[in-house]
Amino acid sequence: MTFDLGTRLFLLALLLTPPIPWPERVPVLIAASAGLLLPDLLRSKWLWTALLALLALPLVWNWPFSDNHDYLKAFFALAALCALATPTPERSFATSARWLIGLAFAFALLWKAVLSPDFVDGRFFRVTLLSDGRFENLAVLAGGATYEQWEANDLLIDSLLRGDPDANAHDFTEPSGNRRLAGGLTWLTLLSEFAVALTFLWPLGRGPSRLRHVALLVFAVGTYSIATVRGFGWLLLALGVSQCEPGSRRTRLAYLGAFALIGIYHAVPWTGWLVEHLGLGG
Amino acid sequence: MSSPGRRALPWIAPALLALLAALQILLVHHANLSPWKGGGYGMFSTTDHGGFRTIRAFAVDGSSEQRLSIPPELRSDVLRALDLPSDERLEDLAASLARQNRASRVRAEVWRLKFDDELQPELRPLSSAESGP
Repeated sequence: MTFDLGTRLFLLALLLTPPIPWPERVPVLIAASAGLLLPDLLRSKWLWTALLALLALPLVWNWPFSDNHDYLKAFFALAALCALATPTPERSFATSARWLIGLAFAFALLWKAVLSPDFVDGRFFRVTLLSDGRFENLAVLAGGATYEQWEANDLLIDSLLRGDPDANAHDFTEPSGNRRLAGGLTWLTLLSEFAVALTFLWPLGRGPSRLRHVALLVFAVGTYSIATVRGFGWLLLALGVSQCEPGSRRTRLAYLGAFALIGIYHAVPWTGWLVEHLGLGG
Repeated sequence: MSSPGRRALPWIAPALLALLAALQILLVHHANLSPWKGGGYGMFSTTDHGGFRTIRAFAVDGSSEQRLSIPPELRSDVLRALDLPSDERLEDLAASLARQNRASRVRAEVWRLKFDDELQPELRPLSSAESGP
């Protein structure tokens, strides 16, 4: 098992996506740099106590307004600290990491499949493709939208929220391909999150659990190519790689490749480039 | 630490995650917390998030009402009230607005933009509260 590789990737993710407010950012950057540069510190309870405090305290004073991956970062630090208090830190951390991923995906799936009134019927993605800037290029590329349509919808939503009496809800337009694209994304999301939850929560070494690395890698490489929430993607990969057996070199390399790929997705605006190259967008 | 205590250590973080996520579901259903917030992993599951919620405030004087603009310095309070429009939070916001506008009473309302099957958006009231007398 690879406690050291998982924690190093976690510290690297903290360095690359630190908290935004500077009083939170500076100490996190110092602690993460120290952990990466000083190998002895990586297994120090002091480092993980400090990181736990730095990551958890903002959750307390911001509660419940922090983003979900901020909670998962604090749970990561807590799991590392708890693991270092056991005689077998690698095994202990692998257990925590497996359950953290499994439970996070189980709750994500519960929200999408059961609790949310507008996910399974496709409305969430139909609306999101036409209103969330992170999905704008995809809506143009694969949903038949134009940038003009997208901006008109965006302006209409702003007007409705402001209470503009001239705003007409019937002006919200949906291109013909949007419903099909949203339907595909809806079911892909449900299937991939179900696969990760099932394989990570299944008893270890049996049946579907053997496919857990594949399920997580496919999810990360697919999802974060569009939804550029790289901090969350890197965090999941750091938790995932912590469960690799010492001999599983190829799986570890796959995790490292996926980690790099998520960085590349963020750095290269490939959907915008494709739209331009194919002459789409209106 | 005793052996059973040590055996429990790997389960502490996952147990806290599950506990927090269960609490978040309760808050969403009983206090209108946005499903995207609260550590329950409800992000990207619904259009009910802060970006599709809005606040309106009115100075109330007897039977007449006047809509108030919300100053930028209350932005942080507004964002929090959008994600969790509890009575207490809205009352505090209404009280701040009442002080700033020298109004005897202010009502703060949170509305949510909902989309029907044909994607027609419609604003619906979510929560409201008034500043104290």
